[in-house]
Amino acid sequence: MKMNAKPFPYIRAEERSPMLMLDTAIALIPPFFMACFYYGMRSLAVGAFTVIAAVAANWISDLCSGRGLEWWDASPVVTGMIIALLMPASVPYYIPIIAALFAIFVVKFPYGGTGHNLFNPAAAGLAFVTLCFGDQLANYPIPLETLPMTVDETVKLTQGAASLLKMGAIPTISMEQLALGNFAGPMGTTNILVIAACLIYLLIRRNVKWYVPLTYLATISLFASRVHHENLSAAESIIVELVAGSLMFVAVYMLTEPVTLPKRPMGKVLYAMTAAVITMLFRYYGVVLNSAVFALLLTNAFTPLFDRLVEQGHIVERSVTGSEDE
Amino acid sequence: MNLHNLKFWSRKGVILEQKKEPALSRDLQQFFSSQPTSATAEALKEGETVTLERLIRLSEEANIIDEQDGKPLAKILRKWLTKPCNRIVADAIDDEPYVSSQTNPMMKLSADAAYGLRLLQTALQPKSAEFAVYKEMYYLNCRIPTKIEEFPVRKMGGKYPMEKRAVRRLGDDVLTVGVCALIHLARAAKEGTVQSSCFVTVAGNCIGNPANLEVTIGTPVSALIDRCGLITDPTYLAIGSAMKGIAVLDADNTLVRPNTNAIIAIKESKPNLRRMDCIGCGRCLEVCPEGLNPMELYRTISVNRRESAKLLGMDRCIGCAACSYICPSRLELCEMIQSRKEKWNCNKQEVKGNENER
Repeated sequence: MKMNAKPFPYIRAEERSPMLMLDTAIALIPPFFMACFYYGMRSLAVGAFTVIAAVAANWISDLCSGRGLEWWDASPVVTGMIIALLMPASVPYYIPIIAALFAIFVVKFPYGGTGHNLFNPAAAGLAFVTLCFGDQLANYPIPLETLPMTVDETVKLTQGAASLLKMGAIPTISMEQLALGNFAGPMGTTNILVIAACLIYLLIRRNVKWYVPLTYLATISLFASRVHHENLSAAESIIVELVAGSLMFVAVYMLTEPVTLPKRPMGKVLYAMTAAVITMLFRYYGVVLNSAVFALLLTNAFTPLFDRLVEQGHIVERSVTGSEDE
Repeated sequence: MNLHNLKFWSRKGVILEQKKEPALSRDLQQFFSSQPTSATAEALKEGETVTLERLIRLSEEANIIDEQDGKPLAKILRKWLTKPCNRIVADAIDDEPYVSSQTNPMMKLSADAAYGLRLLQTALQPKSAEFAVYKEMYYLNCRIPTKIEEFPVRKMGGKYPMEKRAVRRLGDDVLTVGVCALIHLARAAKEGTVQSSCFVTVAGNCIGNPANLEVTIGTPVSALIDRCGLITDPTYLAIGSAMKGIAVLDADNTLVRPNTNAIIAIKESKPNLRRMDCIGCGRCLEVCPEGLNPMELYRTISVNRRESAKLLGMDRCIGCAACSYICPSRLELCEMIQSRKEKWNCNKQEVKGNENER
């Protein structure tokens, strides 16, 4: 009887990497439905074009790099969906497509593809288009007014809550509207309850560590309760800061992306705190919109540092105590 | 409850589906391929006082091998000549899937096991002596006894890998002996038989009649497989266990050794799935019982950075393969670390040897 050679172990956990990425993609579907409900079919079209662009770019990179077509890799789908959901529903189609192409061709592929990118591709793509086409991304359509497939001058656009905050004004949105996501903003980020439900799904699937979004949001809340508008109470300030803009979305889908996240729990906590501090600094002193995305991109650069620091701490601990498993 | 008991619990590790049935509750079957050797040990006489020296001599004569780590029992006992023993634990902890080659003999040959433990108890005079079994076994067809003769059976829980850590963390004043070694010791003391057999579980999802067998040492693996029957052709055949075993390439010429505890035949549904790159999910870090960073070690080792790997604690890896098991990208983390660890350590010894020659 001749058998196959294979290193141990001979049994493996069922879970596989494509499933992990697919889970995130699944968790991104409900925000699309809400976007479709608020802004009509156009939001789905934006999403579809972006995802197609990202997947096509990824396949081209795969073929160019000679690793063969990895069709099961769902990470470009996730990148495309995140980019689309962070755009206003009235965005011209070419902008998210450019963002997706930039994300894959510039930020992901040259670093070695899935699993090797130093920066979050979606965040980098968004940052790129925010800097290039800032005007077209600054204004948002009004929810529940179905958009035509091609947006022209007749569509009424307003400013988002985050830009109002930045200008020193207080967004006049009732609590009910805040909870339902019925206010102007990027098409996927205003639906707090839907995002929270998706977070629970990701937590159950063990895709996300609970303390990462929690640390991030807690640090933001701390800042918001200390420094706020005179006319707002601390609690109101926290709610407005958390809900306005894309904070919750970033905390759930982008901050927790495994590739750019430090590996040890302590590193993850440090990372989330740094991201929160940078976000708030951008909100107070920065000039760009989407401050959370820019902050995330900057924090990605800290990941190797935190990894190294925490690992060094473990090495020291091991050499001092002899064992750390008790 | 003393501190030692608390130490058995460890948060890290993987939860494995144990799949011990039906082998565990079935009778222990004998499968002898040759006549026992003519050599005999000097059995204990009626009323003879049992001392540690006498037991060491007995286990030396009877060639008893402790199945926990494949060391001679005499060598293990000799350490206790000088230091006092606080507790004796008869180790029947089978924490790996399919394997029940310690728990099953403990239940089926309980008289021998208890006799062996009693011998050690009289020789070493510890404060307590007990059997230890793995707790996380569910859906069993039989009941694990709470007491074997006068010795309690302690159930020890914890995620895989349990046995190795439990033995190590018990402390310096606790003697752990494999149950099978105790059975052989009892036989040698009663009848003067030399150990010529060992207990092996033959199981896996391809085996028709999974069972625990008492096998003559030196039986080819293929004979055992034929004895228990194959349903389908297995993808992998492993001697040892499903987690840490060695792949058997030629079943006819691979023989059962004294410390062989199981033969596992596994059919994998999709054996040729491509491996992916590490996506940094951090699952391996969560499960590593030693608190190492397997993904970083893997990365460091693949670029041949020996000193960094040493710094990251490569030498502390116990080879439990929990990281390889959990890895969603199916990377061969543990195999890589273990093989490189052996290679580098060998090289080091060679270098040292050369220096000495000069």
